[in-house]
Amino acid sequence: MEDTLIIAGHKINSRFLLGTGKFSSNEIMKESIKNSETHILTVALRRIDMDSKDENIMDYIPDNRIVMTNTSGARNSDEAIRIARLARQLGCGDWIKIEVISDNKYLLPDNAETIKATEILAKEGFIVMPYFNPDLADAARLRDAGAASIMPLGAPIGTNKGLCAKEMIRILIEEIELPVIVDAGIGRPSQAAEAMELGADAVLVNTAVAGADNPPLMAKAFSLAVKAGRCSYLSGPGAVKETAQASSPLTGFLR
Amino acid sequence: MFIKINGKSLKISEETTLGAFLADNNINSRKVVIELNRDIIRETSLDKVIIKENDTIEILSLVGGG
Repeated sequence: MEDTLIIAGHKINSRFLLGTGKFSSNEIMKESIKNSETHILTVALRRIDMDSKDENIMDYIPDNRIVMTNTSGARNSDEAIRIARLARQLGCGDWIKIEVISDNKYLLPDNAETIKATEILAKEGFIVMPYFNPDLADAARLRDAGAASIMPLGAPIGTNKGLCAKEMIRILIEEIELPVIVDAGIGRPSQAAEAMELGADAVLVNTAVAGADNPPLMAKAFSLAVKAGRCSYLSGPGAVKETAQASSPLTGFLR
Repeated sequence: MFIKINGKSLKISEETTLGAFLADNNINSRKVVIELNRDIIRETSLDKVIIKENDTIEILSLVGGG
């Protein structure tokens, strides 16, 4: 059956989005990208080190992928907008992940500033993918502001805690007609499958892959889990019951 | 004269263009984006823009990120 993720009119070939931060080497990142089969990768924008000009990350990203710059480091909408415009000038295209964070301990997104940035950047023609704290009213505001998808956090960034916000995400999936991509906090392939079984359209993972002992193998595990979770969602799992229901016929031989 | 590059003060001896400054520092202009006093400078303009005293320049590139 045809089951393609469409974001802002673009066919996306994989429901597994991969972040490129924290890999121990560009070679390991490259191998992980290959195994992930991802179509959308995130990157960040930073000052170059004038004293040691490292290799460029883009040399390790295949040409046929969507490279989406995040606005990490931004503490308000103005800074996020500034990063987005710089990224576009750098040739990154129109895809932008809005990430506005003013809380240094839990790195929780500032929804109000995220909504402001989304509205302005969507008007400038960006494909805006806002990372936000799952809240139905704010999700509706992001939709009205022109977001191409909504990206609720599962748990705080880098915690590997999984779907702590599961019930709120379930409500967003039910109520908001945009693609819902669970971003941040997913630490295990089983948690990615859980998000997909819940009906999420995709997941975005970084730390759980880059921080594994064998990142390329973990990238493969996530890719399979996302596909499995999606198949499970589409196949319509049976109802949960309180008492046992025999799988085999109870009559026909001893009784 | 002094300019500010990526948050650090730097003394440059003579008037130069942004393009020449990048070339002198072995920076590939196609892999960075330049902000001069908060204005984004297009790659095609780099050789026309002359760096002035007290200019604030940001030279940014892509890095790994989630």
